[in-house]
Amino acid sequence: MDPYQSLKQLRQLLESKQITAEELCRYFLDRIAQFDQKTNSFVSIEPENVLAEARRADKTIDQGINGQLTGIPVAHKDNFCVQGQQTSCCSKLLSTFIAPYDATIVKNISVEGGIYFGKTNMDEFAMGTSNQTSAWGPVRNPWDLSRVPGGSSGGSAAAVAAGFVPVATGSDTGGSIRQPASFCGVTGFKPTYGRLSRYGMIAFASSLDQAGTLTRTAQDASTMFQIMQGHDPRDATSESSRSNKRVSVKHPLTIGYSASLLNDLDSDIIARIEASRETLERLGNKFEDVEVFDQDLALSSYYIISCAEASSNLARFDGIRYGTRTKSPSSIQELYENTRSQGFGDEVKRRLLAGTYFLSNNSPENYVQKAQKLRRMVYELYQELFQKVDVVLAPSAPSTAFRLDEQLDSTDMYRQDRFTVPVNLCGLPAISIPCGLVNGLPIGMQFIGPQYGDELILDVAYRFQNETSWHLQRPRL
Amino acid sequence: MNSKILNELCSHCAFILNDAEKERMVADLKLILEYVDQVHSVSTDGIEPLVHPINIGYLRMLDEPETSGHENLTQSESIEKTDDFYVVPKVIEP
Amino acid sequence: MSNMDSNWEAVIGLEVHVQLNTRTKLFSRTRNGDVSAAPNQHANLVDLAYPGTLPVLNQAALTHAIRFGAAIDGSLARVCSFERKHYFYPDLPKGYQISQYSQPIVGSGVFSLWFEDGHTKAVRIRRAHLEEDAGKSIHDRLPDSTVLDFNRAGTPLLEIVTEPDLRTPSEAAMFLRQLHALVIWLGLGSGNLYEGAIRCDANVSLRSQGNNSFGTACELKNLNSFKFLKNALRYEIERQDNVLSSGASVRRETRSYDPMSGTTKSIRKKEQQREYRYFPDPDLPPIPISETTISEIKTSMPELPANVRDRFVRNFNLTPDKAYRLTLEKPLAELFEATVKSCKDPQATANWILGEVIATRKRKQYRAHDIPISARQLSQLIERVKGGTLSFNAAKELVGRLWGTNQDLDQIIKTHDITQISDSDQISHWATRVVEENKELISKLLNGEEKLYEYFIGQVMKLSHGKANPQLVRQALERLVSKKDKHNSSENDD
Repeated sequence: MDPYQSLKQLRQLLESKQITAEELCRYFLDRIAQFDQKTNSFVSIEPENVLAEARRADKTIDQGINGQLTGIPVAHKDNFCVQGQQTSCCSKLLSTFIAPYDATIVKNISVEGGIYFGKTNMDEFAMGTSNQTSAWGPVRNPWDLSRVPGGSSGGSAAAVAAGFVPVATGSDTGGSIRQPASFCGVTGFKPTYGRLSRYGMIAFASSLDQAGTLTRTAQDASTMFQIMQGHDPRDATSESSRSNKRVSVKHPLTIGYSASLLNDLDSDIIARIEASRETLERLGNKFEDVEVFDQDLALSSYYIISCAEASSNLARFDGIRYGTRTKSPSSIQELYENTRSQGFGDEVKRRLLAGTYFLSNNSPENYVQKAQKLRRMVYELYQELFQKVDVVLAPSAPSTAFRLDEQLDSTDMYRQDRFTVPVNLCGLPAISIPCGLVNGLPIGMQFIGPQYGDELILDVAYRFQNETSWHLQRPRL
Repeated sequence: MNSKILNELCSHCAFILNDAEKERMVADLKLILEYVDQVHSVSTDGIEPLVHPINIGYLRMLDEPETSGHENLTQSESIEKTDDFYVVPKVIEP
Repeated sequence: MSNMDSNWEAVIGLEVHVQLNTRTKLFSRTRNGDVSAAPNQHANLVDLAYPGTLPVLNQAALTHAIRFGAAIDGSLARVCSFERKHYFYPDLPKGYQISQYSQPIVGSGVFSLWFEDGHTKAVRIRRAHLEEDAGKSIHDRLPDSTVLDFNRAGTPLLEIVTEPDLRTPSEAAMFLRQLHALVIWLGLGSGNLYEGAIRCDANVSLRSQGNNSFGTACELKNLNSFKFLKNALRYEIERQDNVLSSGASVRRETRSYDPMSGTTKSIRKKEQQREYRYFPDPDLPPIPISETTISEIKTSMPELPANVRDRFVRNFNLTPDKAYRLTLEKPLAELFEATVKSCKDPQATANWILGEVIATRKRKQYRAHDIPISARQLSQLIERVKGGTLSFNAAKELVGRLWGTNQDLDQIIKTHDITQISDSDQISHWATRVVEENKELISKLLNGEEKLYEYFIGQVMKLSHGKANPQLVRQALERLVSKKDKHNSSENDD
């Protein structure tokens, strides 16, 4: 049994009864039991439940009424609510929270028969780029256990890279799917804002958050996307069912590219991206040089908006109605303060304080409005840009995975996101795919599409993966 | 950014920091502000703030009650309830 | 009031929170407004701010707000957007309230305040906006704890803010009463003050007479009845008068009214005012409101009470006061119009409705707006009284019998044998008998003791078992007495 098979291959195995769902799940469970103490990519997993679900899946397969994912393991990032399951956002504050309902995308996956395999580790409340802020301990990169997997969807990226599951969900607020995908050598897809429901995904920054997937291939990302997407009447920011804005798929493409973006990158990384560019040209695509927005300005604007929204979104965690309340508080003030002081980690506190500052009258100028104006400037720049080119090619991250013990200060850590945040500011779709190894570590690049150009970037990523084998590289555990 | 502002922010955030944390946090926030303050260097005259990244379908809900969504409200043991009420320490009315 | 005829003029503005009577909450599909429900029975995942849940705007609440805007001729926003207002309080589940700050759904409008003498005053409405209600904190149920019920959390509120155009406590109370009536008239809310369906805060300041600038205002909270509003303002004006007259200055602060002592006390100084950190709610993209939507809502509006009131005065020659009282409740106005249509007697109809109908409702402890008596029943009743087949007193009693039934009036009259006797021969016969039996009293009556008529009428009514038409009895007696009088005069002449 090969743990790195595609969804299509797994489905064939199950349908042709070469393997039962129970056997398949048991195989992955064993693999997790054997190797996950090294990576710490799962934070909760209930093997008995998984196997019970697998046996039910086998029955439906016998009856021939299976869905697109029947019998196939799917792991969820710990910020997606799964009914009856611990959903902690890897925060102490929610360490005892059992979700009473399914997130819409969780439901969509289970309707197609996907087997809920457990919760993956993440940065606390998705705030981080290294998966070191998790209350359940850091995740280690399967390619090199002394290195981080990236974040915040580090557990999902590591789990897919390690062959623990063929697919895991993730969320991307400023690069939280794409940067770990790059670090772990997997395919990370962040759809257009609104195409996947946010209902049941615990909010970090509502106007930036978007659910997505970590998979082996663009083809698997596409399969998952078709299953997860669609209008949700419980999410006012979800795409309208009447929306008719899809960008149609075509080939070859005019690909926007900004050489100046690469200036401060390691020469080995530049070489990998340049080589990919040649591959894409060989496939018939044309490249055009484009101007992109000042990265540090876009990043600052992202940082202001995301912290401000987070400071508001996380106000609900007061320990009154759910979550972990501090023991026997003597006053209401103590209930709030102790619950939140004990419940939130440092990084979360830092961002809540910054966000509160940005929203408060203390600040000399209105940070949030200013950031939103800059956001419009970025948005308009991309709108213009997509008049000229079909998609944009850019690095996913400025480096390969860094070491756990590397001391980065806050802003250096935040600058990890500089290639990814403009996408979130503008609600664009983007997919990060592996494009090489540098010193034995994977590195990714991303295709960025216009709004509703999800299918377009999935297609170009698929064509690239047909020509290359970087996405088939595996870490040795 | 100084400790006085930090104290106000903490009270708005409803959490507390010990002295060591405060010292570290002031330094961190200073660094962050130094970085993001560059946004003020750009002229944004005449530009409308962008709050929502996408024009979506203007969803509204019908005025029809739905009964689901009340069940399975499992609480952790640390949440106190009495007679269906949530219970918190006495709030002293001003 | 003593302080008002002195040097100071009060300047009052109100903020009124109206709970809208939509079937579901503002941003969730939980049942709204069921005040009898067990605690937290109507609080779902969204209302309790469970992680991952999101708000979706209730269409009906938006329509309600636009209806109110149309009624006060307010400017209507062409886009409906929401902001978050942040503060921590145990009954506020999200740690913020979704409200409208920069772009209220209703902008400036005018409320025409009506006075007893028929004149009106334009009270400017600054804005009216949609927001969600919080849950309820109950402090007196347990000794050391506060308990929380989130059934109310998420109830749609329309917050109506006036300009500081009111000048006296009674004017303010009048305004609240008429606003309350309008809200119910438009079908926006139950208006039940006891249940907190309309809640009022007031800003009040004093300035010297003739001065156009504003003094420092205090905000009064918790004025949840017309009487509380009036009394709190009276107290506060006197308090500020004392402060100013002593040469001190009024502090800007929030004060709470205590209905038990009738006083206000400071609860928050200005420097302690909360900082709400408003910002646009990213979960709720602004919803455009089309001209079509607005004009559809406008055409579906009922005729406004002020209009109906003026029409009643003009078309039916009612006094302004009666027209006003009839238009405080839409069912009253409707009953009036429908009744007049068939009985053609506006004055009698107005008197019956404002008199016995309302008195009966009070006696039977029915709620306002509940009048289970039909126009058909009432117009029949008025016609029978006019036609003399029903005595006024019997008719009054009949209002009570008809209450809550669909019974036909004539049927009830027949069953209960209360047809009035208007047979003049029969009445004349009884009258003659009474006069014959009380000769000595007749002479007193003839000597000017006119009030003895009542005694004679009473005697005749007794003979008729209360069924004789009292008017005819009086006429018969008068005829007999004047005959006697003539007789006496001619005797004297002789």
